[in-house]
Amino acid sequence: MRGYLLRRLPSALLVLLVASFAVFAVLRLVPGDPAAVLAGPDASAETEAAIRARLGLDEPLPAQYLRWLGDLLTGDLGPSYAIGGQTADLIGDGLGATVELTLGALLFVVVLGGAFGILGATSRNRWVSTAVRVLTTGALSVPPFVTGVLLVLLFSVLLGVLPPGGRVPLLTAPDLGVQYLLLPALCLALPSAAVLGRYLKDGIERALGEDYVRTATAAGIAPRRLLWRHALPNALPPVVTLLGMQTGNLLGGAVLVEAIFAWPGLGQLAEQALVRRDYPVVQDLLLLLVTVFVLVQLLTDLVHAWLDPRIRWE
Amino acid sequence: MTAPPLLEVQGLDVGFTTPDGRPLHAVRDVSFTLRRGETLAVVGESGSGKSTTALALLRMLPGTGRITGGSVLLDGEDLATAAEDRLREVRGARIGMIFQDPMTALNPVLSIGRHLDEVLRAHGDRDRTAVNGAGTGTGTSASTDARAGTGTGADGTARRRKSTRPGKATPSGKAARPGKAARRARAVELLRLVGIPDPERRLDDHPHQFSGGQRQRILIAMALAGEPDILLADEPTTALDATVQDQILTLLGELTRTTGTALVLITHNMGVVARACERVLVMYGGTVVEDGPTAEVLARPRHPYTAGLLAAVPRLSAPSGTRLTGIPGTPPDLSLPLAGCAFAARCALTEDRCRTTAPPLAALTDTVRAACLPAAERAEPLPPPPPPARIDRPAPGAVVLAAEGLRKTYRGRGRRAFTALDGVSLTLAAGETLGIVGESGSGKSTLARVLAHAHPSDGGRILLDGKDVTRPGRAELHAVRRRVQMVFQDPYASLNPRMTVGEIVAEPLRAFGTVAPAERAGRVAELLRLVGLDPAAADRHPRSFSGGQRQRVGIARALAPEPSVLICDEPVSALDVSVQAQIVGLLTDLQRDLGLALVFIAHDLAVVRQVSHRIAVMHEGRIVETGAADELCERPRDPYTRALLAAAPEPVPVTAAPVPAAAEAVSA
Amino acid sequence: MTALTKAAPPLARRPRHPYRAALATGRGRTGLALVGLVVLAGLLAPLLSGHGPTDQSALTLAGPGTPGHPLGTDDLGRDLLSRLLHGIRADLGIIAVAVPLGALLGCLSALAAAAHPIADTVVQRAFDLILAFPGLILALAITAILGPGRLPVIAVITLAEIPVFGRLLRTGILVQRGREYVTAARVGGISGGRILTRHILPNAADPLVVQIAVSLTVAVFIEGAMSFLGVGVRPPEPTLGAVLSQAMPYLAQAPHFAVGPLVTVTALVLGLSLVAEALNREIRR
Repeated sequence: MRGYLLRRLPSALLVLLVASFAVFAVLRLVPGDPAAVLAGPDASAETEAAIRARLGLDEPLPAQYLRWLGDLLTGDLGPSYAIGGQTADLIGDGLGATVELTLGALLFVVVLGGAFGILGATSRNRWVSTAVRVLTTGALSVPPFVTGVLLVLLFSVLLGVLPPGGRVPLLTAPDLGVQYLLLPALCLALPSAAVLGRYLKDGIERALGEDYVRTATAAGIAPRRLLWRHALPNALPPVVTLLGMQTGNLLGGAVLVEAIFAWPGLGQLAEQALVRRDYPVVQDLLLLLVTVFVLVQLLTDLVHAWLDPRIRWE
Repeated sequence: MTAPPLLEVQGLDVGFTTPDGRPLHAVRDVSFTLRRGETLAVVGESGSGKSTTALALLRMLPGTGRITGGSVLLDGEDLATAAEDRLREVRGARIGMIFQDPMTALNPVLSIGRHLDEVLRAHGDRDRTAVNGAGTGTGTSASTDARAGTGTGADGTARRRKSTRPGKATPSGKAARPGKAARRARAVELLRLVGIPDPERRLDDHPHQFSGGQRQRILIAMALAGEPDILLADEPTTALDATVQDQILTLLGELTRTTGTALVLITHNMGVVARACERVLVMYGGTVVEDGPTAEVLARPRHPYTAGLLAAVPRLSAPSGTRLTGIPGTPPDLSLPLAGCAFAARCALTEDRCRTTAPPLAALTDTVRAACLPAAERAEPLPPPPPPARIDRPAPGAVVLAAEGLRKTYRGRGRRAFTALDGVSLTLAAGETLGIVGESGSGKSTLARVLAHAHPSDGGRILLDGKDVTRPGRAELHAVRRRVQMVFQDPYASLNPRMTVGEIVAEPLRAFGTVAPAERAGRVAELLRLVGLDPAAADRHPRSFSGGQRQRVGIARALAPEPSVLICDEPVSALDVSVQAQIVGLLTDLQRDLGLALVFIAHDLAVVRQVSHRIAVMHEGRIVETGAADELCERPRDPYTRALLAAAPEPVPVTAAPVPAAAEAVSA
Repeated sequence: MTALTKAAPPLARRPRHPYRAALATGRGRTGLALVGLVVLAGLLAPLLSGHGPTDQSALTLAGPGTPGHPLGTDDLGRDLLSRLLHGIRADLGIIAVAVPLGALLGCLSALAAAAHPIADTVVQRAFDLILAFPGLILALAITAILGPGRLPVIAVITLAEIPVFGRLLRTGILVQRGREYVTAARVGGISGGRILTRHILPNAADPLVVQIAVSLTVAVFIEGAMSFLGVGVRPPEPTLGAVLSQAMPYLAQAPHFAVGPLVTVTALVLGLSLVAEALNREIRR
């Protein structure tokens, strides 16, 4: 297992390194003088100079890059000129909200996707399997911004049972927090849940058709046990990989869902920073999101290897 | 002693629905009985319905398959109509099953211990006598009778096994559900029984850490875990090498003798039948055509199909240069209604009534039954197969192809490098057939690919007409390929599914520019005719052809550039014996007519001996012995050659009963 | 199952092409009809709508059925039918350029990867890099450079599709290359180029066809999401996502505002999904 981690780690680090180059380059590709843009049209020459010095824009590019990395590693991200406050605080607050949203959605993905997959693959009842198929196709076919609008229409406008937007942190007020979390998490989760469910269904069906399941059937093992102990462990490893990929999609999708439900997370912060052209914040944010994503991928691969002895031993 | 039959199958019918909605009658009116401790072989070629019959016994038919008629009586209880829950109690506990491919039959993510534990758990909580008693009151006593009858040699081991069995043998009490530790102990015992060395340690290993033969042993252990009365083995040795096949058959024989388990062995291999079973059931086109004691059926077949099948099996004793006997034609299309005898279209002795009246399976003697109208009236034995015909082949000429010290190493993703060829040298003369035999992993397929320039060699030299062509340039490679062509093993994988047969055969014509574009269609038709196919086949895709026909297409493609050397990599391994003879015959005819030099690679020594002038035996990337075909088979010098020869199962009728002397050796 | 392998009947008539058979199923037909309807509406936009998509009138937030405005008007008094139809047109214009472009670039890089091991490593790492930016985060990064507009939307979709198609084709080529019929073609003296185009690609293309249908739905998603976030096509030009995001503040007051784009986007994506599913089933058989 450790050997596997050691083999996977370099390529993950390489991707991160190249991604940091790319993100760094984004800022340098922006037309115009970033300091002037950041300071705004009314700023004095001193402010502009201060910003330039703070960002090190007058240094050569490699030095700027190294300085940026150093700042990231020490957590000293400096003030946000356009939004106000410390960048690290802004990102910290946003990160909390986004992680809460993503984890909530992940829970929905696992529960709904798992139910879709297992019911779809094993239900002998025509109505159940049709319902699962219609639901997964529906969840896949309706974009999150549409689902979001529909959910708000139904639960907030028509029924008035759930708030249409905003956030109360789950940790400070769990009961209220859940109400605020429910709709955005569901909206974010639906497409991923459908993908996962369909994948799991295919995987279980394929595994149930394999020779080893026939062997187990011939040995008199009950269908329930065949599903849970024989087919599912084989269907699971690729599903875990997919779940890792979907976590990335959830992170990306969070940007959109946060906009729909006014959820004050990283997506909202990124949008705000973009609109106000606060490029240092954008740059830090992008690298943070990519890092989270790459770490999730790495974790996924490890879980996959743990679940599948063939990889573990290779 | 006549115990009531353990298993009685009556008029079993199995139907499938094809993807385009037509019914397919895979098994028609199959009846047979099985007594306790008996060993029965069900033999037939692909499409004969033998595997379907086996799966139908446990109601495990795949896809659209269902039993459409008849009954399967196990101790008088009909499994064809039993409830699913009841069937589950029968599976594993009363009828155990092993399947063909040990590589896929074990769950890759579960350890071997878990595999066995699952089975033991499924049946551990049921008292064995209660299961038997549910079927019939006489079940237990009959079982004891059968065990007592297996002879003294087996008796000792059977008793010993009983005493060491935890949980089950202990009278009542906590025997009801063996605990985890007890199951683990039993799993170790089972692994030891099937000959897995060091079972305690290997219990936690996963399937991919075992060889094919070991996996099959583990599957046998799983099938025996519930101590079934019947072991159903569906082609248990087909995926294995001859020497491993030999070991597995020995193991099965000993296990059935010591435990008194009845064995139903599904196989296409007449040699395996002769080696392993007392009684044989021959199937063709979904029906039973003949049934009787193995010795009797093999010595004096009553049904023309049985006779034809026996004649088609290549004998190791047949000398080099003799023609294999085949059965003309192809098996019937099971989706069409069948009026008369399924074999009528291919039978040399067909009478008019055979085509209109379905022959019943009638008793011809006390023990032999056959489904053949003329056979019921025939007093004398069927005419023996014509003596092996000599192939009129010209003497080999000058050397065309030579290899000197060829090496090839495959580097896997990891550190492990696999040496497939380790200094192989050979020569091949014009008009000569060089047979190459070896087991899987011996490097014979790699040799074929290196000789045909499909893969480059890492070292050594290849000489074509005395000229070094080991590392040819672009133009030279093209010239070499024109002279050296290849026929592949798998007639399904070696043809591009997206092209028509005509396009496939025309590709080399286009590549080598041997004929003008306008004449290509004519040449394709000519080539198809040459390999015995209707030129009208050119418009169809490979999927609408049978295996034998596809192999003919592959040969036509290889012949298109008019080569002088043809390298045939296991060209008949994927084919049924009756079709195998047709393809081998075609190759030898082509050799005679076109003066081809052939490299004929196979794992079946008997086929190789018949078609080859000389034979080279390969083992672990080296040629261990080479010599004239007859000489090598009669007087082998290398121990490996001797082992190969000894392991090849011969369909020689067994007159004496198998000697149970070796029984103690295995369970010790 | 040995009994079934021999069951292939001697076919007299040629079987239909699997794609056509797939599209003739109930699933395929429904999908095609839905997509066709939306595409037709987009193509005929100038003929079907009586107003320009940006013409404003005094009549704001009029309900459906208002004379002259069958779907009503928006908050600025613009005709919703016209905005919807032109929105479809704009969407189709974007995805019809971006998806094929992404597919083409992806396939080209897969071909390059198949040609040489070094190219393979480079291409693989490039794919990894793009994939490290999940969907909309990539959109944010690109908009940061290019600013909002039509071009960044196309760029984002194209860039996102490149590794998808590239990986798919690369795997397909690798799998087919290992098949025995390719070895047979090589021994048959057929040139490398012809083996690639006539033997490998036709057998590796099936998943790509399905992926195109899937990618079109993803493109609709991305366009909508970007407009919704305000980094897409610049107002006042209508797109489906833009109209929808404008409707958001008026959901309680004038829900009909959102209905047009909601139904259209759903129909389009559902249709494409059904087509993809039908193709996929037929190919996997």
